[in-house]
Amino acid sequence: MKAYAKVSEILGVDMDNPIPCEKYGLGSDRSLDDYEKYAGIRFKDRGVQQYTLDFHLAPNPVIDDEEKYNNSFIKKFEHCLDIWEGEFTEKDYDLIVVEFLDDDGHKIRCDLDKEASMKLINAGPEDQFYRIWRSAYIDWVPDKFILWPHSESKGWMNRLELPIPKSQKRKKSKNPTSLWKEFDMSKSFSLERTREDKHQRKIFLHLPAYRDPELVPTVEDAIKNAKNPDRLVFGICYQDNPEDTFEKIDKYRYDKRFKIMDIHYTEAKGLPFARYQCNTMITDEDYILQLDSHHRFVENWDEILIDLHDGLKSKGIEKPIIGGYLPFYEPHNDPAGRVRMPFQSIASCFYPHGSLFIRPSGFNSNVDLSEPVPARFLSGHFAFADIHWAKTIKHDVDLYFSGEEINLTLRSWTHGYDLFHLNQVVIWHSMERKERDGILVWDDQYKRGDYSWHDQQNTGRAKNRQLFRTEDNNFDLTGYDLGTVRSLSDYENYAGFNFKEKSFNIAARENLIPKLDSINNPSEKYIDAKSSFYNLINITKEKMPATDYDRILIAYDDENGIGLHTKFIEGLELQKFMHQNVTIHYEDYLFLDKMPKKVVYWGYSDSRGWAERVEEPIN
Amino acid sequence: MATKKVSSKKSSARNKIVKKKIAKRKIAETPTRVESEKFFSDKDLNDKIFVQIAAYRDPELIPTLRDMFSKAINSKRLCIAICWQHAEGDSLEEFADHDQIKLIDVFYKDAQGVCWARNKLNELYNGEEYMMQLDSHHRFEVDWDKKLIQMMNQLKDKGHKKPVLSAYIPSYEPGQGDDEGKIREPWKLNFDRFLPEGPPVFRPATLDNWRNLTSPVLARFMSGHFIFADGVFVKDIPYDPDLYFYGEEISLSVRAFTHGYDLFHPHTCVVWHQYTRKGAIRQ
Repeated sequence: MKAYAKVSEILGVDMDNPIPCEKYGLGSDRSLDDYEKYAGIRFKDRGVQQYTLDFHLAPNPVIDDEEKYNNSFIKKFEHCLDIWEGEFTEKDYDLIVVEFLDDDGHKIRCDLDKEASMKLINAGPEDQFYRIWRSAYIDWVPDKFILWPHSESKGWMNRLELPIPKSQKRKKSKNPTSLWKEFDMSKSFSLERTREDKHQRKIFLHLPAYRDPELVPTVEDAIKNAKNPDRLVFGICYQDNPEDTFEKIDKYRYDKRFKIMDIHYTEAKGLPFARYQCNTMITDEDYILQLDSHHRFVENWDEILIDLHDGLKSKGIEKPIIGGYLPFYEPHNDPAGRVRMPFQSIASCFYPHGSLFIRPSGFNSNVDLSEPVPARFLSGHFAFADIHWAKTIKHDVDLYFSGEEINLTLRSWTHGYDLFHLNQVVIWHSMERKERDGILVWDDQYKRGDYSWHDQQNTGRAKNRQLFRTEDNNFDLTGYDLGTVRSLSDYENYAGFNFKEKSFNIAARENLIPKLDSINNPSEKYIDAKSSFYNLINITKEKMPATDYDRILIAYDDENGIGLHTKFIEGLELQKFMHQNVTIHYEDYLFLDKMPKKVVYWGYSDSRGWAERVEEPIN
Repeated sequence: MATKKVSSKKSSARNKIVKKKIAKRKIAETPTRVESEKFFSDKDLNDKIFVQIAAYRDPELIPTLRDMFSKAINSKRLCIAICWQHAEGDSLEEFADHDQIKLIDVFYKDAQGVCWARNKLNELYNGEEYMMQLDSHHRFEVDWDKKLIQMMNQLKDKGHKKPVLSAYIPSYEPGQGDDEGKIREPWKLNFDRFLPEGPPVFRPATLDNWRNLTSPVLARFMSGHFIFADGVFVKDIPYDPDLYFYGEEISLSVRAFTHGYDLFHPHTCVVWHQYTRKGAIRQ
């Protein structure tokens, strides 16, 4: 009986003792009413639309008028034919024709086939009468019926034509068949639905996880702090080592909010690969929240992100992406270790391989943080956008790790997406170096003697240079190229960089907020443009052998030996270098009017004056 | 006991309908159609399929498995779960201890109905990209896995985010010649009538104009014996173990639809089903 009650519950049929069906019940994407309109079947009064009875394929035509809609469901006509036993003289009927007719010429056959005929005769009469129940879905009311049995051995027998008494007739309703023809058959029930209710809209959490002990705490925190945890869909690319002892995702495997793609950690192929896999699991979600797998969330984070995103849209930004670097938390010092201010992404220089060095920074104090702030860059570990973005901008699996962010940025922007940073703290991210030291993907590959990541890194960089239009490296960029809504040059104007010249304008150098209307001011990228210079300093004992330096000068000179930039190494760093054999090794990035041709290392001691001097050319 | 009575009534009604169809129809030639390589990439070749088979003392189980493996374009991708409701002495032959098969071993007297079995099978889902739900008496078209995935990709390409393929699939009859009496026309489900107890029942019919169809057609109803969908369907619409045949298919249809799934009938014959189980032991 439980089965009856449950089916009745699902079909919305009145029951005295309804049973909650919970996870075996209806979904929330469409209603039972939607199904009835789509299929043309109404459960509560057992009505069926003529369109369905005519065996047309779904979906059924839409009937906007409520009264017409209600009248469009045809109920079953049922009638019991009471036939005196004397009418059936034979034992071998192979057909009993039953036909209902009305005075207007409608008719319908409801015959008994051989099996049914035999069953009737074998069962015998009841109080001298055979009772034959016949039914049909008709929208007219029969006035009479014809009964005409056929015997296998004797052929057609006596034909009966009898009226149906008025008292047995049901009330005549409006004729739905004729109504039916008035409807626009081209307008059928649409399967396209947008979730009108903001609270029901689904967020796809894009989570590439590589042997990450923080994944489960991240998932738990997201669920705990969401305003509507039911709308979350976790798309996890789960690159697991079964021997790891921290808590695994397994307890969520039967939670329908979870889509998990299992990849053995030895099969992992870098972050864009994992991100690509995550996005293949998208179905009908409304938003994407692209993350890493180590995060914390503020209360009602889901609603905050949707409100910020939709707020931008209502201001005329058609395709906003809110992204960038998130403030940090520390897994083993949480929540005390949480940074409580939003970050922006800034570029510090062009690398020699052509890409930009992008890093997080606080906002300048004069920035208006009342709403999301226009941004130059996306980050990999946080982006919130309409799900359309994830379907349009696919992750390029040729990239390994570095270069992913500028690649996504340029492709998204030129496809017409506008980039924004969060104006408030909504999600935290952990650098997590300590927790996972030695078990990151490149560590594992290195341990296995797999050095492919290095080649892959070079391939990715060469591909990016082709994307920047600074080199043609014969890559087929189909599907992974810039968009056509805006050009690369438009981006350079907007962000203040020039990829060919490797230069920054003043706005980019000073991290001023980019202007959304930059396309109308096409010369901005040239305003006070300076070249970005990058050099890796490496001073070893061989170069500066003495132990009595008081400072070491590092100077960048032009071709005429004129100093363009100087810096001194002194104090603790110098002491460590001289006495503890710690190499002086760091990245220098500068903005200069002119490119240096050589770097000079020149030791100075108070006793000896200017001493050892080494010159190295710069390419 | 009431539920048992209803279930047998329903199934015999359904068998009767199908028997009639078999008698009426001659085997039609499958039209030669250029198989489009569109909607199929290298990735699709390795995506896993979670196959759920509810088998109740069925001599057709072994032939079904053999046919499934031999006709797949990539049989390695199959992750099969069988609720094996068997008697003492029944054997899985070469499929015992098969590394692609997970078994729920049930002594037949402990069986609790097909919905219960399917609920148990649902629990063995492990993130496979696709799911296929079957009974235990089927035959398969060559490259059936590729053909079904192509249909899914084609529907997704048309904008259907969550398609599900289901139908009373065409029948075959073991022992009826080399072709085992395979009906070569795809079927759809028509509304038949409401049962006195409430839920409607359906009956299969040849799909209108099927020779000219190039993609699956929208459906009102789903069948329990053939479902193909994204793997996550198993988690979205888990089988209710409390159901017992009665209302299984209409509740499945309504639940899938309201979870946002778009229901489709395949437009070509890819899998066949045995409707008459002569000599088989019915529960």
